[in-house]
Amino acid sequence: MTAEQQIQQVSEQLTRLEREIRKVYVGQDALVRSALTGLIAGGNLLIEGTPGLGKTLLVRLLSQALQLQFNRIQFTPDLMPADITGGQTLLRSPDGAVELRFRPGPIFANIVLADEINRGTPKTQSALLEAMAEAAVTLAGNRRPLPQPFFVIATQNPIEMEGTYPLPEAQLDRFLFKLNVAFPSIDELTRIGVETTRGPTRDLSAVLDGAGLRNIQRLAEKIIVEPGLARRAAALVLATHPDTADSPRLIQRFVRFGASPRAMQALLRAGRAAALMAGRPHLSDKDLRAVALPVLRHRVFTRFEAEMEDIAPDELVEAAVQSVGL
Amino acid sequence: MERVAQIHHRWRRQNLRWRLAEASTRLLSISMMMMVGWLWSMSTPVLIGLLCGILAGEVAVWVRRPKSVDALAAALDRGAKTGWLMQTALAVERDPDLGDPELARAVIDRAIAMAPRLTPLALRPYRLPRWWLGGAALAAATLLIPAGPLRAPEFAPPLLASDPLFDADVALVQAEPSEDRAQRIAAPGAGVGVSGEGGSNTDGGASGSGSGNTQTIGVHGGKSRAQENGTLSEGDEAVSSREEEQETEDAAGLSDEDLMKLMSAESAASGYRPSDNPSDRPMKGLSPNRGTANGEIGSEAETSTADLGAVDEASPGEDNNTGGSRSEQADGTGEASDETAEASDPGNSLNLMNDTPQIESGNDDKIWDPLASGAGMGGINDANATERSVAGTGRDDVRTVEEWVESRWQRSPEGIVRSIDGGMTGGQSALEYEEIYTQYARIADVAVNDEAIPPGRRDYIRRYFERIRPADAEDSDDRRATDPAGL
Repeated sequence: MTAEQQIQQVSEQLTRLEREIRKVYVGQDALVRSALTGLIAGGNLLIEGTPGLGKTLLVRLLSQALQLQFNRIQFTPDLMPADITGGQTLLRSPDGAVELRFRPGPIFANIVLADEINRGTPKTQSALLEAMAEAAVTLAGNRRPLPQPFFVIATQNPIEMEGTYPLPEAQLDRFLFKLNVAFPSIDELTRIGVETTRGPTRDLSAVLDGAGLRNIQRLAEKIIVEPGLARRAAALVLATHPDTADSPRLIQRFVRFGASPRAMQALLRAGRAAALMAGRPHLSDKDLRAVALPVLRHRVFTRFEAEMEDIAPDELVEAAVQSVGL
Repeated sequence: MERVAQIHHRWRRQNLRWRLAEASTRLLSISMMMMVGWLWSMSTPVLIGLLCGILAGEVAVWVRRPKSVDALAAALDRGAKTGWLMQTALAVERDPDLGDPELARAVIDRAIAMAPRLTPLALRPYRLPRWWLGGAALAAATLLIPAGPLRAPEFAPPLLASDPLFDADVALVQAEPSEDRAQRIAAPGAGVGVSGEGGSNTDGGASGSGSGNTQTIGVHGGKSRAQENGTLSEGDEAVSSREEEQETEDAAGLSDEDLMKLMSAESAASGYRPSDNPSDRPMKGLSPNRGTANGEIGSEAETSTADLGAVDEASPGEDNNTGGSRSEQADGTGEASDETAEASDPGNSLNLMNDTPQIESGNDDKIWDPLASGAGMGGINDANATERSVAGTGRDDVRTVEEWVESRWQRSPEGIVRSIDGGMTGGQSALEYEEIYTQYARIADVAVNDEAIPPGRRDYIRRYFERIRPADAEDSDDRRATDPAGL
């Protein structure tokens, strides 16, 4: 099978996967596509939306369609790191001996849903984020790798910020995408009401498995990036910095800190995944344009003046995208 | 050559639809240029401006062309929205280690496969189209070759407001010895044309009319306006409209019979007689079949076929016969014409017949009649003849009079004729011939350079004025001896 045929086959699989998910998940087409892109890119997702928009349902459907193990962690203020990673427990063997045995935590799954991550304490958040960064958990000097593929899909509630612990910038940077869930339209809302209340949610048929997803991820890493386009992506990252000479006026006025080099990696990884989903063997400027917003919106830290003037990070990222001609 | 450039060339070769559209566009542009040059053959600046505009557009496109393969690839991606495909293909070809070899081959294959589907508008030519040179050369040929296949003769205006009397005046001046000319000029009101006779036929008839030059071409009054006004000064301004109106009224007061007498006297003096014989008609095509007062047609007259394009040349013999018969039919003027012929050198006779394009006017059965009242006949009673004034010639040292002349040929355009005051008086001008010539030459010079005259006709005008240029007596004798044809 040639590379071209392989790309076409993968593109068809992903299209089928997307279609399968949409059989149950009504609306939110951009969210579904972005979530798939993030998974193909091998990154973690941060989904922000008000309660009841189907964030948990989406993750569950993804796991079903991909035949991946799924665990859900509900973050609360009293959640401890060991509740996430697991720990050692004293156990008495039948012969009366006492030993410490490692009991894995809910993080040991392919897809981990960290619900309302901003409600957990920073200590608990860091335990999860460490696992996200290293794909392994170190306990009692023992390093335990996490199953592959491994994804963390965290959610945040934009309201009810009281008693929450917003993720610090350094930890936000570890998420590949930040996806905003919009409220459904009237048609989507009508469909949601009709279809979800006439019986239990049906299960999806499997489209891919973990191995297939890993192959797709390896293929995505081979997508060719033209040096000029890579330079354009770097220019985009630099454009988010207020001290850059060519950055737009909005950035210079409302941004405190711009995106890190990790954003550059995220752009290319996500761009390659988007190109593969579109069936292209090369990265296109359209792909970069499509992933720029979810990649950069949580990496651009605004001044207080932006909050005063109601300038959203999306607007700042859009200005940076236009300034580099994408 | 880089693969992307190969893709581009291959695409241009294979895309039949683009090639047809390109060829159609080029043919249309060439046809438009040729059509404009044909229709606006009188308006050279407009055509030049159009050609310059087309040239500037092509040069701008050529300057903006992608100057490198990288720029070409970027132009292809940008214009055809191929999603960075061409640039990636170029990068992969240059650097095989850029990515997975199989994917690299897939990128190149895609670029090649996508090339035929690129729309023509997405691309910019990166070299000056060669067809433009051919189109520009063709348009220039259309413009410069006066009698080329695309030059419609019927759109070419008459060189001069053909007037047999004026032409006859010119011929007489050429034939007239300088001493006779001086004598004639010294005696105001004397006739022209018959050497030594002093214009006896024209004085009385002309004075009553005072028409000068304000009538239509068919009427030539005796005295000049300057004579009637008793003034003659150099550099006078153009005749006032009031004088023109007065003269028009005066002429209108003449009866047809008086005018006919007047015209007959003038014609007799110049040796011209209108003939009812179709084979002896005075007009042939654009210019009259005029000859000198002695009826001779210079056989040495040069032809200028190359300069004027397609020329329906009449054989010298035919011209000679016509001129001769006309001369013979002149009432009472044959002898005088003969005397004039004896005094003049045939070799120096003005013969413009063979130099003018013989273009059939379609009105061959109409003989010019100064008293004609039909539309387009140009006679005194031409219902369409009106007076108008036109913009000046830009020369303050020339006294001119404007006349609206209705063409006597159906297919020739009508227009304004500017005549020199005192220059078309049928031989009774009080001005020296040199002055008349100078004034006419000034007008002609301005017209040649500024007005909408086809280039081929400009050369004709220049040659004409060279031939009627007054010369000193000594010079004229020397010239006749060495160059009888007056070349």
